[in-house]
Amino acid sequence: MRNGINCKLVSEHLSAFVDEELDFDFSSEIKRHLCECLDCRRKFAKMLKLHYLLKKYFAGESLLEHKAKFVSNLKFVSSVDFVTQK
Amino acid sequence: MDYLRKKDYKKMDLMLLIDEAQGSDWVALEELLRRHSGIIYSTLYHLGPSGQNIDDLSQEVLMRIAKSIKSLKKKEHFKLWMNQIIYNVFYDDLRRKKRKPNMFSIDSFYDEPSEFQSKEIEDTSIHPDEKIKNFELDVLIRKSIRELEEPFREVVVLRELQGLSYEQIARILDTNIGTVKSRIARARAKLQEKLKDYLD
Ligand SMILES: [Zn+2]
Repeated sequence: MRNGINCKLVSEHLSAFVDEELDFDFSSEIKRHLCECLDCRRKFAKMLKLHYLLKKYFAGESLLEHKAKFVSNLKFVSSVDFVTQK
Repeated sequence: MDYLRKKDYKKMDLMLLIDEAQGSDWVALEELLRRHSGIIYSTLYHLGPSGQNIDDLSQEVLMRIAKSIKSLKKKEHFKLWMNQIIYNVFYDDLRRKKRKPNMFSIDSFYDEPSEFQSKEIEDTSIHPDEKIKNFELDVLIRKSIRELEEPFREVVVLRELQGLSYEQIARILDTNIGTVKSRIARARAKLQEKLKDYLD
């Protein structure tokens, strides 16, 4: 479909590629390009690394003391109220 | 008995839990809220670097979920629905605050190093040096996200923390998928720049 896939086009769509948000054909073309192009492969690796860094950060972020305190101090008096209110 | 009951709810599949909660089972509702309280807190925390009271906002989100869980038509849409509530609560509050300037300080507890330093990370599997490195990286990532302009910060939180699809994000932000796509790409480019020392 998209003729002449090039580094510029790939780099513009790498982010959506990482998120698997591109249509199948285009995504396949990008994969093919990545196999042949070291430069884009490096950019892809970086993009992927950022994605995982952020994922890891958000997942491990129980370090956040305020959050832990909030979660452990939750009292559900109100949810009982909601049910009994009606 | 109570203990056993609670334990079952803890293991309960999310869809089933929503079902029960919608059927006025308050133990299920409580578990549903508890299960999501952490991610709600994180989302609000990262959305707003402007010193809003995250505890209060998180409470408000939980209340709204509790109040309106019955109005959720498709259980599969729970995550999207929850994020719409988070988003509404967050921006309602922000709008209120904007009308009253100087009500809050830009750098409230977010940058207090004591928040993190005071807490010993009990993980003996990680080498001390590694701990420090992870800690530094955490602080840097947090700071980098905070420094993003609002439209970029939003998409990063909705995508990387909440794991929503572009379509879902577009619905929450009331925009189109193309915009979401380009904002995420630009947000990532900015973050790559800020975190470049860790990406090579
Ligand atoms: Zn290339």
